[in-house]
Amino acid sequence: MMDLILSENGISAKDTSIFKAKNILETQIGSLQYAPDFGIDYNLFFGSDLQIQIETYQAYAISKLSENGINPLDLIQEDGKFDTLLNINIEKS
Amino acid sequence: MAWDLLNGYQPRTFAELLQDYVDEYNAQYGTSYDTTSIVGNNAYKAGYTAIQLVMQAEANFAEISVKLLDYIRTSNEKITLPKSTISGFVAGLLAPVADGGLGLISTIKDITDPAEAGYMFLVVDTDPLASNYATIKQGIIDRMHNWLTCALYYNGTETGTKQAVNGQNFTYKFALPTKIDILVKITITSSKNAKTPILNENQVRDIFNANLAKFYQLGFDFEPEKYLEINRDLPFASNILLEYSENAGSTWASVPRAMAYNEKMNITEPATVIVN
Repeated sequence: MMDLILSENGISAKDTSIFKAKNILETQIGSLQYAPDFGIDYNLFFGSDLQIQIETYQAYAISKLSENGINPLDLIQEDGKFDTLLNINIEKS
Repeated sequence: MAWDLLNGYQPRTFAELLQDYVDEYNAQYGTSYDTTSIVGNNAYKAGYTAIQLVMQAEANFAEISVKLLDYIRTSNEKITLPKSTISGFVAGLLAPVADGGLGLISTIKDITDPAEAGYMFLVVDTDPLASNYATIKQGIIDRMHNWLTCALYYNGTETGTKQAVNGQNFTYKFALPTKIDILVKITITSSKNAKTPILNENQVRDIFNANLAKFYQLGFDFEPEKYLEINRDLPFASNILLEYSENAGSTWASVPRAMAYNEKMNITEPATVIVN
């Protein structure tokens, strides 16, 4: 999956699916103006009054990634004292 | 951008531009994206911005082409009706000031006598007592100079000159309308079946004056039946008699009065109205 990367050296192309995966999991409403109905609204999951289990979010994230052609290899959950880190490894496309 | 004779250039839609972008991107990097699978990539982000710019440019270009079409069409119409013809000159003088005219009604004599060939009898309906008459008069002279053909012999009481580009001075003449002074008497018989209110004298006079201003102008025959009608103006009436007198009320007539090209009715006193 060849994608464009903007770095200090200007714009270049690289075989990576990191950016697409990031866009899928990123907060959507108001930020992805170029694709308003794409991806997961992170704030909607964790900012709403309704408590949604972390397992539900994990399953949904994996499902959305696969739907958009990103293959997740594993998902590792690391629980800290006050926060939870989700590490998702994806396959190089 | 597609060209269409009726609508001009049609700007491409977002979907069409995205398809072009994806095709180019695939060719450049050897990928196999389609318009759905590219969504979410950085490539899509960059393309999205670029497509917005292209859409804006294409919309502007289409707008310009429409304006250009309109300009060409208007120019064609102007060329089709040159001002040196009778219709062109009269229409040109009647056109609003913004369109190069003066907003004035004019008539030109129909030349039927071979002896009058080359003579120009122009009558312009304007008020010689107006404070800006000198400006209007010179405006008419200027337009005669610019629009009418050379070698015409001009007739009329109003004279003016205009200098040509080579420094020569040319004299132009036109006439003011010959006013036919009349009195008007309107006799209305109310219908016993009237379902609408019966108007008073002043109201009837106002309707008559408004209709006269609308339907009558320089050179038109004076047709009394046209200026007050039962169905249109006075539904309460059973009969309307509109009479005019050219000899200060000695004799009255109600038949249409034929007018020459340079004649115009002039009502000297407010119309007398009788409602029975």
